[in-house]
Amino acid sequence: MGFRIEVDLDLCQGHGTCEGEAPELFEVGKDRKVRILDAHPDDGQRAAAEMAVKYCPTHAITLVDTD
Amino acid sequence: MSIKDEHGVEQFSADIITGMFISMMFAGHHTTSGTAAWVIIELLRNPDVLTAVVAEMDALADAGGGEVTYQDLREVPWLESSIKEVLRLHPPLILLLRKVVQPLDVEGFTVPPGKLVGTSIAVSNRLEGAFDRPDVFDPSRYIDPRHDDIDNPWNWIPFGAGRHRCVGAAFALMQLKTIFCILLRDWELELAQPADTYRNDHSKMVVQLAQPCRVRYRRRVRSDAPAGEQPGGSSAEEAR
Repeated sequence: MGFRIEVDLDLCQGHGTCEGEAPELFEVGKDRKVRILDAHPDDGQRAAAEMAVKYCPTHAITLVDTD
Repeated sequence: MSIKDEHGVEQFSADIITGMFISMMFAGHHTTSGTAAWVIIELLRNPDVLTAVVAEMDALADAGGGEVTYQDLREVPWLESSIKEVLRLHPPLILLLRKVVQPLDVEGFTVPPGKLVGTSIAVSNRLEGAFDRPDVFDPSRYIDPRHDDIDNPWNWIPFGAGRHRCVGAAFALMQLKTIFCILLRDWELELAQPADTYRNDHSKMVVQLAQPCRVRYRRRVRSDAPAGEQPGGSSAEEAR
């Protein structure tokens, strides 16, 4: 089962913690908002994505399981 | 302080800078010490959980030859979950304030912009519907595959929620994990008064355990420790 990454940009404050946890999935630029580099990563990235969810200071990231 | 906005006006007044400095300096003192005290009490009230946490700490110390790293402390599910469960049941801050920016309807009342709205963290953390058996200390709520905190981000709010969620949350958790990693390695603790007499004192802004609140501590002697000199056992002393 795959998964999809969603970010609530209203909550995102651009701390960049997600980029530290999963640099292949997230990038935070000078505009201090996250960009998702790969919204449908393969399962090999799931552990890193879960760490980004866990450590996001504003809990702006969610993972949605897809078939 | 000298940072200016696009119109050349200074963005931060001395008052704002002072406020930021005070919150950064002092928001993490009583909150963390009070939480640490409650972690001790709840672990002693729940010996099965204490056993699991101590085993987790011993395994870490043994694997690292006594050294425990930052990465190690990111992977201590029983200790981390015990701290989270203490924060849910005994949040050090019990009131969260937000300023209304647009008319807000609450149960038929309209709160106008400019007013402050308060929510009770202590109540939210125990809402039926969000949490199974909400008054029970149960760290397994956060043991994979359960994530009661992440699954209920607007109910599980010891650190608040939203854009202004506590900026020190990750630091506070790491600080508490560091404290207990050392404390539980070196000391044995036991309750020094009946288990149901440990209560909160709500008379201060930051909630603390009411006095008296005593436990006994004793230098730990590990029966399963690798051969070598053990620290000398001493008679139990009391601490508050």
